[in-house]
Amino acid sequence: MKLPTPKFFDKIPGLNWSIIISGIIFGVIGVLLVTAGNPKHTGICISCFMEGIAGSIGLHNNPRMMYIRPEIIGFILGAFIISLLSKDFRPSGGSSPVIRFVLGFLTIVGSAMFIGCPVKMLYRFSAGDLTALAAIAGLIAGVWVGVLFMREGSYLGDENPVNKLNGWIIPLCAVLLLVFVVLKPSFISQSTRGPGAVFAPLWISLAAGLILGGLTQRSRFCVVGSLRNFILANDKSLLIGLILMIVAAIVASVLTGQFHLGMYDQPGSHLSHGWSFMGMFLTGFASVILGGCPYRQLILAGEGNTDSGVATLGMLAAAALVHDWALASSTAGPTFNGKIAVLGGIAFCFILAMTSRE
Amino acid sequence: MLGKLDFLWDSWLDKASCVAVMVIFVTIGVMLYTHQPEVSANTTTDRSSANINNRFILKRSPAVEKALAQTAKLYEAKKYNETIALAGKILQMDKKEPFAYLYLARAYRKQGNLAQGVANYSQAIKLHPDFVDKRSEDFLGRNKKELKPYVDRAITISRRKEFRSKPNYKKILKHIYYLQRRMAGGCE
Repeated sequence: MKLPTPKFFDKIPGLNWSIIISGIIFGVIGVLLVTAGNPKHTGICISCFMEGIAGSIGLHNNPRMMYIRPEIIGFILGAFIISLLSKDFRPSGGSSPVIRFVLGFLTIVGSAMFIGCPVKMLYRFSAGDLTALAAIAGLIAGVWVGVLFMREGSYLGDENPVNKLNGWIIPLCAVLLLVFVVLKPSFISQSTRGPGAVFAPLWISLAAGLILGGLTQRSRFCVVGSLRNFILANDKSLLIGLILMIVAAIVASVLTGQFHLGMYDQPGSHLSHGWSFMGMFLTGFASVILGGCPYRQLILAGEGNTDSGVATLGMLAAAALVHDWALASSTAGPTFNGKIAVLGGIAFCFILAMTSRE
Repeated sequence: MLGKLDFLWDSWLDKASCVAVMVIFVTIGVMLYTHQPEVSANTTTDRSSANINNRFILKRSPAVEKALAQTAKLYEAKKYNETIALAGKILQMDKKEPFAYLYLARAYRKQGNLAQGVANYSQAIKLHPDFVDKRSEDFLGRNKKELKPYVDRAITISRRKEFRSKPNYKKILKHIYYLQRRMAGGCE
């Protein structure tokens, strides 16, 4: 059944209620998760949460970042369930998987430089953190450069249908992680201090993840995708969802007392704005080549896209190595290793975009 | 001569990208050449130990290693004057020992000398950013309540006109803002 839409929205091609609802709910749930117990300004952050999972399963040894975040499990399983119900579950893959692994890796390296993925960047901005402005500019610049290459024909290759089992692997991994969260086997670590020890109750986090995963599977919500579509084809449909997400998050932040406008006294931030710009430039550039932001990769992996599954594994590898190789920034600022990794990553993206023309 | 690589010069985008890549490589080269690693740290797999020194193996002389262990004992025994004296001696032996600065920071803070505490902590971060800032609990958690009034007062004072003319104004302000961000929490 088609829902009636106001005439204003009819003027914007492709816009539907699902993206409007997704945007608003995404904004509100992210803020409410902080109220429920998640770290400040970190209602949802793919890079932080992946770092928590990587630490918990023993891939890095930072004792402050070890917790299997149920939100991530929820995103994947929500997308998986809804795609099965809506017959959208179509396992496919084979489009430059190794390159996608590296690009997934680089999106997290860029995010670790800024301390947050594109989604968290918007939450930080919505909570009044003005240090996020440099990162927003960097993300837009990165997407813009990526789109320039897309216009010139840069492309990672076609996806082909694959054996159905391929598409089930990442959702099954999510189920396995859920089992670990519930049963807490001895080989799973859990932070007793630091951000890894600060979390919303399990079932609230999981429910939030499932709702958002399902909704955004239908609406195709994506931070990078919305900017890309707007720059590439002046398509505002996804961008409206993004703007509504920011507006909803600002309103929710104000109502819950989380809004604090300023450059200083902001949780999980640093004042190296140039490096924040460069970090998000890398994330934006790599995400455009990948076809979506880190959040979108999780959703696509949930609906059976094995290329996004490989990118997700790259993100997990990066989430471990940003700690083991000291690439991640802290409140003291970026590290030397992180700066080198971001610059190297940007060079890689340029070379890849230049050499992957059709 | 470029042969198959001729396509790299097809458009302005390719030319700009080649220049960008070259600039990046030169920048990386300069950064690597000018960078002097402060300490070389190798992580161990020991995650259970409560002793911060056990988690990292730093290239230390046996004398520094012994003195550091002694400093830790003095600090735990709440002998803060002795801790400060011994940490100072360690820095005479090795001025790049981050844990000596860390113990100085802790001891000064316990004595109520927040300015020295933060200054020494900042030095420790500079020398060992991966460990000190992300993994230590200084200026976080339970310390937060104790320190917040001091930091709020420091912020108020820093806004006064007469303070701006002081030497090292910017450096002090940087320390205060850092402390403020760290105490604000968040996920990092």
